[in-house]
Formats: sequence, structure tokens, C-alpha cells
Amino acid sequence: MLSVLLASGVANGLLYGLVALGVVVLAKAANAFNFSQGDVMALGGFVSYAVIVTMGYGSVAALPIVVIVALFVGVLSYLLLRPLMDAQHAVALLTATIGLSFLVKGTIRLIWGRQGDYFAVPPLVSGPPIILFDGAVIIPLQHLVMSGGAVLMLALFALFFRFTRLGLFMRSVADNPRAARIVGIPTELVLCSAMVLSLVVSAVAGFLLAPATLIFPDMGFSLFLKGFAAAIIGGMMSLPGAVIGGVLLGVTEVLVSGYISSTAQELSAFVLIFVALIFFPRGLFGGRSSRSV
Amino acid sequence: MKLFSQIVGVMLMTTALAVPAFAQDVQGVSDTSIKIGTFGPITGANYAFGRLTMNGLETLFADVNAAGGVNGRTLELVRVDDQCDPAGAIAAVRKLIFDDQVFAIIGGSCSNGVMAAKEDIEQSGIPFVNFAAASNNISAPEIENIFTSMLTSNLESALQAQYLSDLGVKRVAVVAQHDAWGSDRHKTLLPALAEKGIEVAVDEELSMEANDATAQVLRVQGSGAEAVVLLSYPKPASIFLRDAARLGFTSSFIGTSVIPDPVAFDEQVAVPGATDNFVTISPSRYALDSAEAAEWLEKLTTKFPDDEPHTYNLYGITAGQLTVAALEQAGADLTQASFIAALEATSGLETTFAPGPLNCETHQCLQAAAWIKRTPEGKTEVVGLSTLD
Repeated sequence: MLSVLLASGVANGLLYGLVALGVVVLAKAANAFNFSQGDVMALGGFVSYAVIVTMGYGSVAALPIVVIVALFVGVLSYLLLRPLMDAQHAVALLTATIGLSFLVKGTIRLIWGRQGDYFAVPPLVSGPPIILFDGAVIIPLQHLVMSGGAVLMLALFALFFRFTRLGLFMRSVADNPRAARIVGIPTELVLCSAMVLSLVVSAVAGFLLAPATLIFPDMGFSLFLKGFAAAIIGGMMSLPGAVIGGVLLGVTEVLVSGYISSTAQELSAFVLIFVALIFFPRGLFGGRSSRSV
Repeated sequence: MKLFSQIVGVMLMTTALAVPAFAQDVQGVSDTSIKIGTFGPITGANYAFGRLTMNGLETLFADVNAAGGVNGRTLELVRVDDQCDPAGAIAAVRKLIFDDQVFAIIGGSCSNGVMAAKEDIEQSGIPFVNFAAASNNISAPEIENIFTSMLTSNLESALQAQYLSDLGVKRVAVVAQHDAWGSDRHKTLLPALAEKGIEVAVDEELSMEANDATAQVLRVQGSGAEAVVLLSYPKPASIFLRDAARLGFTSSFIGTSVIPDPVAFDEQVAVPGATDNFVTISPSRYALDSAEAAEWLEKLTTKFPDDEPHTYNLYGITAGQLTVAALEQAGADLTQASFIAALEATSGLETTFAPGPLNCETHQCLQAAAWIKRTPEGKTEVVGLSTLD
């Protein structure tokens, strides 16, 4: 039972982690949160539904299309929100992203709303679970694929930040925006990239989640909250922290549900945040607080 | 707010009392027609509950009109969209009563909406037959002018317990969503199971937001339950069955009337074999794709070519047949009071799709259910009928 629960918790947690990554990337680069991230995650699921079920192509074809759509939505979001992306308009920006959330949700409803309540995307893989050590460890295939996909995405993310010029720019802006501007780093490009990247990673999370659940237009907000919670647990400004926060959240939910009570599943996420913030007020990887004298 | 409610209440009562007193004609009734109102979601995410049920009702009315109407009067249906929203339902009911001046209302699809509008309906005294909302609280405790032709949540729970008892099941697992809808059923199912001597091995929660049911499946699997009652909307039920299939857990799975089409549900679950042991309760004794429903299916598709036929259409037909029978019984000198009396006197009324005869003495006219499942060929099959002892 434990291995199955852990497989499920890690798989879901990694997806929360992907959303959390998007939250952190935008928070670091632009000091902003985008409420439409969850809806773009839903959009990722719906686009994969359209490609796999409606058009009859496979999952391999769906992934690049999901990424292209997310790129497009990301650039469009940036163009819409750009005038508000400064410290003076923080509240207006937050409100605008809520509006954007409704816009994305409304578009999903407009396209798919009349076709049914919920949509099923076929499993990425089907077959019996993997059984190891004479049945002591059981891992459902779907969870393995979800985890594998999420880990691959995280690896690409790490490589992007470590080795690409744009990734380095983004890190510089995140560390010290003023200094980055002074040394000539194109902050506009960095802001745009952060917006696009946060939405692409969310859409890919939607692509990975869709076969494991049912998708519906309003699914985004609760997923965004989970990702946001993961980012808080991880320390808000830490990329590895976001992923670890997501996994902690996913594993806690499923272990509480499996060993204590399924009624406590939803509650467990909030208890985890509460406990984490009591002992680590800046999150697990948020660093130590400093005081200016 | 209270003052406003009182004013509205007085207006409603005044209207209800004044219309017969000052007008020669009964509200919504002329020499040639009877105006019937209906409300429910026509647009929006939940449109199927409303528009499709209305389509069934309107098709039935068209059929009756083509045969000469009821006592020489044709039936005219006025639709108002409430979008499954409580405020929308209140506005819809007031519009039907005050603006459209309908004779009776045959409608209501979402329990929250009907409950919100119930006070207005009750105070106006207008005859109301709820055709698709399942909450027991709509028609219980009994109110003079409110009836339901839909299977109510309490009766559904009792019928589920009876079905399990008939199968010889002694231990069940309950997996429920604990929102207003789920709690309404949960609190009636547990006593119904206890009454039949059925032990609840585990009682699990699976929320509407859940994307994973691994923990719930494992707990149910380990409980030794012989059957699983899924008190949930299609989404959580689908997720449970998908995860059960992935983990190799098989059992008898029992659904509720919010999963009225096991073939469509199987498509939604989209994991081969996951719904093989899934049976759901239905207020219709024949499936839409059955030979018995073929005539109505053709009428529905002819009249509403843009709407995909659905089991909800059949609920509308049942409500329509009850309405027409009561209108005929009320006679040519039709009044709202005589129609209500005729509804209340309805007993043993056989309709095309209801799983048992309609008896409206308690105002909850349908007290029987069909059990349906998907065949391996992808058809819907009725596997049993249950009537309350």
C-alpha cells in the first residue's frame, strides 16, 4: 500500500511542483503572481484532448502543440499585462491576472463547453502496474509516466537556467533587478520570458495530468492553489524548493488520506503549510531572514 | 431583506388570490390553450439538466397537441433559463408567474435553484411539478402545490439499500463527495443500509476537486466490502473507477441518478473494462437506445435536431405525461386548485418511461427505479427494477 501511495503522491506532487515552478519564476523575475496559470494548465489538458481524442493523433503529437499554444498564450498575456508590470501597479496587475484567468476559462468554455461536462484523455500508457521485490513495491504505470515527464521537464528547466544566455539573464534579474538593468540585461525580454515560461510549464503539467483525471473548464483554480501552496512551502523564491514543496504536498495528501482519513485529505495541505511556516517562516528553502541595522 | 421578502410574499399571494377573483379566465388558460412554464439551465455548463429535460417535455406536449390537445386546449411551453443558479431560479419563477402568467410550472433541474425558488412557488400557490432536481427537501415535508416526478434523494438511497439487500450484500463501502448534494444522500443512505442490515465497512470521501483516488481505492480494497456505493457526480466516480482499474481492484460499483447514462459514463472513464461492474440507478425503465424508446427518439431528433438526445429527455416526457393526465382529470373547467387536486389524486399512473406507476399521494410521485449498466457491446441494459417495500 505504501509504495502505491508514494507513487501517487510523488506523481501528483511533481505536477504541483511544475505549477509552483511557474509561480516562482514569475515571482522572481517580475515580483508578480499570475492567477491564470491554473487555467493555462487546464488549457494544456484541453489542447491534448483535442489533439489525441478529437483529431486522433497520439500523445507525442499533442505535447509540441500544447507547448506552442502555451507560448502563444504566454506572449499574449505578456503584451496584455506589460503596462502593469511594475511595482506601482502591483494590485492592478494581480486583478488583471484574475481577469486573464476568466478569459482563458471562458475561451475553454467557448470551444469545448457545449460538448459535455467532463472530458477524458486516454492514458498515456496502459498496462498492469510494475511489481518489484515480490509485490513489496507496486508502481502504477500512469504514475510512473507522470513522474518521468515531470522530472524531464524539471531537468530541462535546470539546464535552461544553468546553460542558456536567457536563463542566466533571468537569474541575474531575479537576484538583483536594478543591477541587471544597469549592466544592460534586457529586462523586457526577461519579463516576457518569465511570463511565457511560467505558462508553458503549467500547460505541460496540464498535459501530464489530463490522462490521470478528468478535465473540465473550471479545474484550473484549485490546481493553481496547490501549486501556490507548494511554492510557499518551498520558499517562494527557490526553484528546487518549489519542486520539493510540491512533492511534500502531494505525498502528505495521499498518506493522510490513505492512513488517517480521506476526509482529512484537503485539510492536510493547509496543515502542512501552517506547520512549514511555523518552523520555516520563509519556507523550506527561503533562506534565513536578515535584519538591517 | 425580511421586509422585502414579506412584500414579495404579499404580492405573490395577492396575485394568486386576485387572478381568479377579478378575471373570468384562470391565469394562463384560454379557450384554446394552457400556458405552462418551465425553468432550468438552458445555457451554461449545466445546460443538459435543463434544456434536454425541457426538450422531452416539449416533445410530449407537441405530441398531445397534434392529437387535439387536452380537453380541446393546446399546451404551450414557456422556457426561462436559470443557468443552475439559485438567484437565476428565483428570477425565473417570478418571471413565469408575474410576466408570463403561466398556469403551472413543470420544471426545476438543479436542487439548489429549486430550493431557492421554493418559497416563491409555495407562496404563489401555483401548481409545480419538479421534473429533474433530486433533493428530497423540494417536496418534503409535503406542500400543497409542490409535486415531483423525479426520483428524490431519500427514495434513491432507500432503493439503493434495497437493491444491495436483494443482491445479498452484507458489507459495503461508501465513497461520497461531502458537499450539499453528497451530504443530502449520505445522511439518508447510511440509515437505509442499517435498516437492511448492511454494514458499512468504510466510508470514504472523494471531493469534486480530487484528481486522484489511489488512497480511497486502497482503503476500500482493504476493507473487504462486497460492493461500493459511489455517492458522487460523474467526475469523482470516474476517477475512482479509473484508479480502481489501474490498481486491479474489482467489485460491484453502484452509482446514483446523476450518472444516468452508463455508456456515456464509460466513455468518460475511458479505461477499458473499468465500468464492467458498474450499475447505476435510473428514473427511466428503458434506455434511450432501446426499442421501446425508438419512437420518442425519432420525435426528439426531429423536433430538436441540434441537441444530442439524452436520458434527461425521458425525465421530461415522464413529467409531461403526469401533467397531461392530471389536466385531463381536472376537466374542461380547469383551475389551479382542480389541477392540484387531480395531481394529488394521481394513483397507479403508468407512463412510458417511469420504472413504476406514479402515485402522488405523498407528492413524491416516483417510488421505483431501474438499474442499468453498459453491455460489452456498448448498449444500455436494464438489469433490474426496484420498488420500495
